[in-house]
Amino acid sequence: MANVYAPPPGPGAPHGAPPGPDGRIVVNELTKVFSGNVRAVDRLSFTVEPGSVTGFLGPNGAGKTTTLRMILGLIHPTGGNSTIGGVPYRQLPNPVTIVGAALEASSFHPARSGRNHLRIICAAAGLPDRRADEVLDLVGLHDAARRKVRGYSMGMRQRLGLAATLLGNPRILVLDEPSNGLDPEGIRWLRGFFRHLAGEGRTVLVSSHLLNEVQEFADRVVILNRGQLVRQGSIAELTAGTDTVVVRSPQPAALVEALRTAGRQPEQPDPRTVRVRGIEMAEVGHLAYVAGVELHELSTEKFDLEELFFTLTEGAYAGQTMQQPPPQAGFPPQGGAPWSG
Amino acid sequence: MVGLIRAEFRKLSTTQVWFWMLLLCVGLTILGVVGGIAGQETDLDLAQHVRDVMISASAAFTYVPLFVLGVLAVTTEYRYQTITPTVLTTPSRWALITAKLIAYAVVGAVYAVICLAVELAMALPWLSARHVHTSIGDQKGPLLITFAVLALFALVGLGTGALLRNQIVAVTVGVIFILVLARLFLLIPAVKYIYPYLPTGAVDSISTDPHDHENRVINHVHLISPGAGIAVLAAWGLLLAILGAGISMNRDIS
Repeated sequence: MANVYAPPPGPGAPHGAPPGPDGRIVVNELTKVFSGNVRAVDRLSFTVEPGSVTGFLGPNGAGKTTTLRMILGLIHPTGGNSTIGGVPYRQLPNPVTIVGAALEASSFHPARSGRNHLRIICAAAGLPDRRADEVLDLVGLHDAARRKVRGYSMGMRQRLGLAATLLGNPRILVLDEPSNGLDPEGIRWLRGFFRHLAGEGRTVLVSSHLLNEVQEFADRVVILNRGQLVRQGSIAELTAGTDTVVVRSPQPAALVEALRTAGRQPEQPDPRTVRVRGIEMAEVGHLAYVAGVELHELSTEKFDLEELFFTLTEGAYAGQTMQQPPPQAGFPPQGGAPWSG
Repeated sequence: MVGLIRAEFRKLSTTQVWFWMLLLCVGLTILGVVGGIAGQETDLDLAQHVRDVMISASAAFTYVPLFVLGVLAVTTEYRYQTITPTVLTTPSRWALITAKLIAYAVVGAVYAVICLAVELAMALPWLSARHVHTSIGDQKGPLLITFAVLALFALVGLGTGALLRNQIVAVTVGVIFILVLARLFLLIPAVKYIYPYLPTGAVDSISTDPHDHENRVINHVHLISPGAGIAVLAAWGLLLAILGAGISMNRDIS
């Protein structure tokens, strides 16, 4: 499978020029109320910086897809606005050369070949037909190019959708759950693909339910819950100072006392374990040494994106009728999730 | 715009719908020729009705598949959600519907030419064998009328599809209205006078012999001139397409 991406065109190239003054995606007070007074997105504001990969996260029904569709001019916002390079999507000249968007893996006529699907977009956008073959090679669909889409697996459809986003060699990509249906090899390929895009200075906004994956390729994240922004920033910023030092000792009471004296707030989940957040491991070791406490374990538990996500979206499942208990921190297990979109 | 029109031709040519619809049109044309010529028992009767034979062979029902083809031009995009990449590539619904109108005017014209060619290839030798001598030149008027009906009905279908978006609803409602409901208007005293301005009434106005004063009055309703009938059909196509692009296709795509 090819995992190389065509370099962006040089000066004077017909495609891929930066849109407007910058490649920034700006969402400003975006609101969507569907019929029945369902407030899917509520005064949402965030910015996707040029040359960054931004993960767009939120539980099922948080409003991610609605937001992406509003950014792309497919859904009319009830209030607020969004711009790409300072221009609303619907006013972009030949938008596929500025923004590549893949929203779902089912936007294909089943009786049409993948190659013909792309050639139709090429014709409409005034791109040469050879771009269709080039991007099919890039996503590893060369051999299936002339097969009808009805014979494609979900992963192949995802790749075809990604191929369509690349036709105009755009500087900005907006992708909704691109890893859905991909096998582990495909997910690994996708991760490399994003890294390559970011390395080329492209702006990527990608919604995903694979939090661990997002953590590996995203520079920043925007976390949404119930249509509202709950947090945005770089992953490093969001998780700074939130690591937990875990200590096992036969004298936990003495250690707890030493930590409290130092102004910390330790927890003791079991008789031999002490956990304390927002402190360096070396400082804990020093306090134990000074207090004469014997240690059997001293380690740091990383506060990862998944834990942050579930902390911020806590209660997202409240009120839902579920046969299963609501997800806990650390849920779902690797490789699966009951929520997406 | 040239690229958008080319894209529409590609959408049609890269699935098999065009072929099956063309086959249906040709089949209905063949049935029309057989029914028109074989149905006249004497050569004298046939000579008197040769104009009707030439028109009805293609125009009697062949416009229905062309109507459906026009409906599918828009509704297939919604059925398979290809409308999403389509409007991501071309955000302007006006540009999109204009490209479809131009493309399907050409498609309707090509289908009409093929149907007329089949009709002439069958009818002229058969009429000659039955001692009715006519030529393409003699039948220029009927042929042009048939051409206009077939070409324009693709646009009426396209407009209907743009307005209703749902494929099953648009095909079912459209075909039932054209073949059945429109004629029921003639039975309602208060509204029967709008019949000539409906697509079905326009077809009757176009296809009925302008000199046949008896048949140009249906239930006390006078048909409009063939030229006005062509204008009415074109207006229906444009009006429905404008409403579709401005209202229906402009709705949220979610």
